[in-house]
Amino acid sequence: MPILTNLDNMLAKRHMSLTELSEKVEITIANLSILKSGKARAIRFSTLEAICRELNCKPGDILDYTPEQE
Amino acid sequence: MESQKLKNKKIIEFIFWILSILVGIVGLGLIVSVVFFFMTLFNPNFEPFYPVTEIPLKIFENGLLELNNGDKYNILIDDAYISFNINNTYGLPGILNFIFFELVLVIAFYIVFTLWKIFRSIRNSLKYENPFHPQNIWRIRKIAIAILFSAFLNIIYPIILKFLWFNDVVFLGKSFEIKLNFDYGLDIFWALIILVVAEIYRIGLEIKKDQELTI
Repeated sequence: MPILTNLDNMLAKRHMSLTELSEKVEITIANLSILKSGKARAIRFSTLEAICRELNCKPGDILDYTPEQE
Repeated sequence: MESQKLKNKKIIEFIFWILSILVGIVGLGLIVSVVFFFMTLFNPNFEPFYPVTEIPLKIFENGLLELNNGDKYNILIDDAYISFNINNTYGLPGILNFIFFELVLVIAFYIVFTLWKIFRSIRNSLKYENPFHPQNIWRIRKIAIAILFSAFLNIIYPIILKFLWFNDVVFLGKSFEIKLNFDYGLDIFWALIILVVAEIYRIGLEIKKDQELTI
C-alpha cells in the first residue's frame, strides 16, 4: 500500500498510548490498531481531524506516500 | 426500518426451514433409491416404480384438441416423451439408467444442501446484519456448476441410450425415433444468471471489507 501511517511515531513524540488516544478520539483500539498497522483501506476526514486535534499535528505528520516499486 | 428488518428475518427463517425440509426429503429419496436398486439387483422379480426414464420422441402427428365447450380444433403433436422402468434386468442400459437417475438425484441433493448452507450462514449473521461471507461466493458458484452438469447429463443421456440400446419406439401401430433433447439448454442460461449473482455477491463482499477497514 503506497500510503503509510506514522501514527506510532507521533504517539511516541506526544508521549501518548494508543489506549489514551482511542479514549480521546472515541474510536475503538481495534480500529486504531488497524490504522497503525497499515491495514486500513480508507480514513474518514472526521477521524483524521480528531486524531490531528488530539496529537496536535498535521495530516502529513501521520500520513506518508511511498510509490510502489514496479 | 425495524419492522422491515423483522420482516426480512422472518422471510429468511421461513426459507431456511423450507430448505431444511427439502434436504431431508431429497436425502431420504437418495437412500431409498439406493436400497431399492440393491433389492432389485438381488431379486429381479422385485420391480418398484422407479427409476423411470423419460425419453423424447421424434413425433409429427395430427391430433384433435377438444375444448370444455365441445369445440374441436385440429392440432399438430410435435413433441412427446415416453416413460418406462429400466432396472438391472435390462442389462447394461438398466445399470446405466440407475446410475443416471442417482447422479441426477445426487446433484439435486447437492444443490439443495448448498442452498441450505448459504441460508444458514445468512440466518446466523442476522444478528450482525452481515450476510456477506467469502464461503458463500463459492457455494453460489458451485450451485451454478451443478446445474450445468445436470443439464449436460440430461442432454447426453438420450444420446447414449439411442446409440447404445434403442432403435425405435412402436405404439399405436407406428414407429417413432428417439429425439435428441436440447430443452435442458435453458438450464445453461439459469446457471449463467447464478454465476452473475455470485459475482455481485463477491463485489458486495469487497465493499463490505472496504467499509470495515474504513476508520
